[in-house]
Amino acid sequence: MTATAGVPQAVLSAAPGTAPGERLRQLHLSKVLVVGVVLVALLLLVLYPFGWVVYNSLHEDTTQAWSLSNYLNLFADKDLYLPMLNSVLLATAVGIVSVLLGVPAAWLVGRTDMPGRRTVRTLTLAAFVTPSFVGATAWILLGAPNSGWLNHAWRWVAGAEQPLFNIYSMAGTVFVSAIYTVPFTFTIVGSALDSMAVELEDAATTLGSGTWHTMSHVTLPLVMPAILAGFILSFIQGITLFGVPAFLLAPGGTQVVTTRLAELYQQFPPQLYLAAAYCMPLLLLTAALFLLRRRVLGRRRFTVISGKGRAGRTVPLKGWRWPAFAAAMFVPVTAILLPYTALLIVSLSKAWGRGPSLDNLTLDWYAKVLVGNVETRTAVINSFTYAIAGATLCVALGVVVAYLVERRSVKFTSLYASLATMPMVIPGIVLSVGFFAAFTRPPFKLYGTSWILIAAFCAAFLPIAFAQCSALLKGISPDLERVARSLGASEVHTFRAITAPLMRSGLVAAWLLVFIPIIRELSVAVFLITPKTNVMTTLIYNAKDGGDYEALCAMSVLLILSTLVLIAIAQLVGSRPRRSTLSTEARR
Amino acid sequence: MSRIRIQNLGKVYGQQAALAGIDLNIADGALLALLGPSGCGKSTTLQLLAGFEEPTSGEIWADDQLLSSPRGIVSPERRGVSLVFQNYAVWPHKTVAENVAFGLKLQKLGTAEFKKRLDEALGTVQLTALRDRYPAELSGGQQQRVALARALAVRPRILLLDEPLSNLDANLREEMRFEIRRVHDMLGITTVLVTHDQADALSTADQVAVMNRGRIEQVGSPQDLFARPANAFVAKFIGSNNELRGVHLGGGCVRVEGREFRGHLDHVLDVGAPASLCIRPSRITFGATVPADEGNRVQGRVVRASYLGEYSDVLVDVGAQQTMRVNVDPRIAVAVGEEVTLHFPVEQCQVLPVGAAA
Repeated sequence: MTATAGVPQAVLSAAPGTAPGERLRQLHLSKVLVVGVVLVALLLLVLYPFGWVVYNSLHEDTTQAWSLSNYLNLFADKDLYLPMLNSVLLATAVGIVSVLLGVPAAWLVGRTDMPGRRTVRTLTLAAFVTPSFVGATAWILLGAPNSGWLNHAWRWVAGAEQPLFNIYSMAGTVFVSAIYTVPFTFTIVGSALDSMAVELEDAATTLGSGTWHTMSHVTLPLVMPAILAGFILSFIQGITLFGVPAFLLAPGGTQVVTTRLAELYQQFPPQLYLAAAYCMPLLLLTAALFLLRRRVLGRRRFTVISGKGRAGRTVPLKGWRWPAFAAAMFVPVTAILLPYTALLIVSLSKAWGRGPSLDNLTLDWYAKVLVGNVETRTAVINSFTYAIAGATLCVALGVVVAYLVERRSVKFTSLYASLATMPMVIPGIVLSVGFFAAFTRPPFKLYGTSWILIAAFCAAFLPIAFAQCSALLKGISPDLERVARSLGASEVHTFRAITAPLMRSGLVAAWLLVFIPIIRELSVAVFLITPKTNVMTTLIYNAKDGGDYEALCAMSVLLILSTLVLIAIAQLVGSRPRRSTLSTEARR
Repeated sequence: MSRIRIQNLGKVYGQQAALAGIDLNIADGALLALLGPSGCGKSTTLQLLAGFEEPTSGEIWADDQLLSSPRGIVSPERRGVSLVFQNYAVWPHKTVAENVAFGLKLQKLGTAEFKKRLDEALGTVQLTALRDRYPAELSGGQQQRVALARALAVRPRILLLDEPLSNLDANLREEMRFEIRRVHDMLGITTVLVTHDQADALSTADQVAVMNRGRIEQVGSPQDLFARPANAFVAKFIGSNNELRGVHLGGGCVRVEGREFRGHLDHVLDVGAPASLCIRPSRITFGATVPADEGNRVQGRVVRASYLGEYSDVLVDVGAQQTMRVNVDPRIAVAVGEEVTLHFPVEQCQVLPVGAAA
């Protein structure tokens, strides 16, 4: 019999005996188009710039000929290998300090009855949103040997001749880098503590183990992988950081890899090919560290043993509650409260050297930044335009790639996944080098346009978008999509009608997670901007030597403030009351 | 409302054959259950029927239309095959009515026809009153009805039910069995039900295909399977039979570890071929009731005994790493470690081939 009226009639001939060998599979034009666009975008954003970096690194700057001399120079030239050693030193110190600060704070917040736990958590996480080079700017105001306020205060209180400390030093650089890296160790270890099954600790307690014994023998070993992962992430941060060493270390003549790279670009004549080769050791190291981190987390599955969602047992601190609070406030005070105060006061001062007083109060700098000065006004507008465009493109690309990979909708899914993840191991400044190399020549002459920045931002944060969207899709049972297919919807229609709406609130979060790092990103943009395409971060970077601190601070405050406002808006949108939960979990 | 023909259907994942070339005919309007333990290939068969996977070998036909072959498949949306999943897969962002209407909208019906079909589908599963609810506000059984209505609204040629009862509690489960049967009898849609639960299969289906390790062991009516299992696997899976594995000596006589047992032989079975003696736990006679002069007896030691009210479930170690499960009169006291004699009445024993894939 034939199908009843209304049944989706198969396109194939229903005549008796479909000829064997006849093609049964139909090519869906819209799907082919989508997959094609995605593949081209991935190749252009990730592989193409990287290819040019490799190509350039194998050429001599002066003769333009093929040569290995750049690589040989890396280990022969003192001006090239010393910065590498400095970078490793800086990164190691940053890793250690951020573990020492972040792990106890995470424990105090997650596992004790310390007062003000929410405050500490919120303020520590606020350090995430603060660009570290803005923090560095603020710490120049606070800790410069002569003019820094804290040193002023020290000399006044102690009557000393010498400053308390000098922020323009390796120690100062480590300190500022570390306080803005603490959020990594804090959240990683914090979530490991949160997700750990209470039963594991309870089991030890019932066996007669005391609080401290349980902490040291059960809890700590269980979160050890998280601590290690936090250290590795902090190390990577420390070695790829550009802003902080550029602000605090370079003025004293000490170079790290990232600042030396900038020098190679900005000197005359620039040595672009040498710079390309100089990226390689950095790239290899970060790639190796990411692999190491994956192994650390992958091998020890028990890090994610989860309980029934009950809160962990709280350790009573008794008389140590307030001292513990004071200690836990170290990062919030040094990374948020002091710097923000300094930035705010200076940005509202006619001249910051005159110190805070009422007659020194002015809003002129904000007016100048936003209205009066064309340069700054353009940068503000550019920052937002690029961040909105970049985040939107990035999430759009991420969601489609994640869908293709998660649902195995195409062949060679691992190729798509690796391309979308690869930028994670590429330090921002290397990406900047790559995009400069790739898009200043035909056939893609984008240098000087907004597109080179939007594309670079999109590439830099594609791994975040991809990972977020993959996680979202993992939470949506493929059966929900299969049902739609069986009812007559094509794959593209199913994605639009079922998958995308179910991802909606998660996509808002993903967009935000891309938008925030873009608007505070400096190193990706540093070689790609032109006076017309300046963004807030690069403007602050370029203005640091001018001594125009009041305008600089006004700009910084605006940058932070606008980010916070956007987060608030997005959270309101994202947490719109949801009528339902995703009742079905992924099955396969 | 289509006849399904499956010929030599095979599916290989990497090195592993999930489906080893099965043949199956499902009559127009029949309700067939695919029954088997997990990993037997029943879900793979379903995925192939729905068009989500491409077979490695073989063909699937619906009436005279080729749906799947290794050369390609008719995509899921063009097959006229509807699905109901174990986890319901009801879209949480759509109301009951929106869920059910999804497939109808794609059929581009006139407004009147659309409304009629929607109301009809909701009425069929008695959900009219809940049409504007969201799935989160429904019980598991109600969600399952939504899934059923959604699948039926498009008037599919074939309806596939993937473990539709597994997530429901015992009472609801019984109710949904009747519901599935009722709706099937009402609409007459060719239906394939996948389940690992023999009670679901026996109580709901016209025909049951027992699967094991990617093969079909037997297809038949529930009565057939229970009374005349094709082999020891089916006997164990359907009737929770005890199995003693040995060698056929001819005429229904089986040698197991040096001991000989007799039973009914309904099959053609070569002398010297591997064979199993199967008997249900309730048919074994135990202890004092064993007649002294007959054969088919075995000595053993009680390793476990649990009192279940209606009877006691006793596990007896009969040596050679074989244990037998016996249902014993609950008034008889059985002690663990006790030496007992078991008797397998000849008329209750079946001598069966071991099973294709065992």
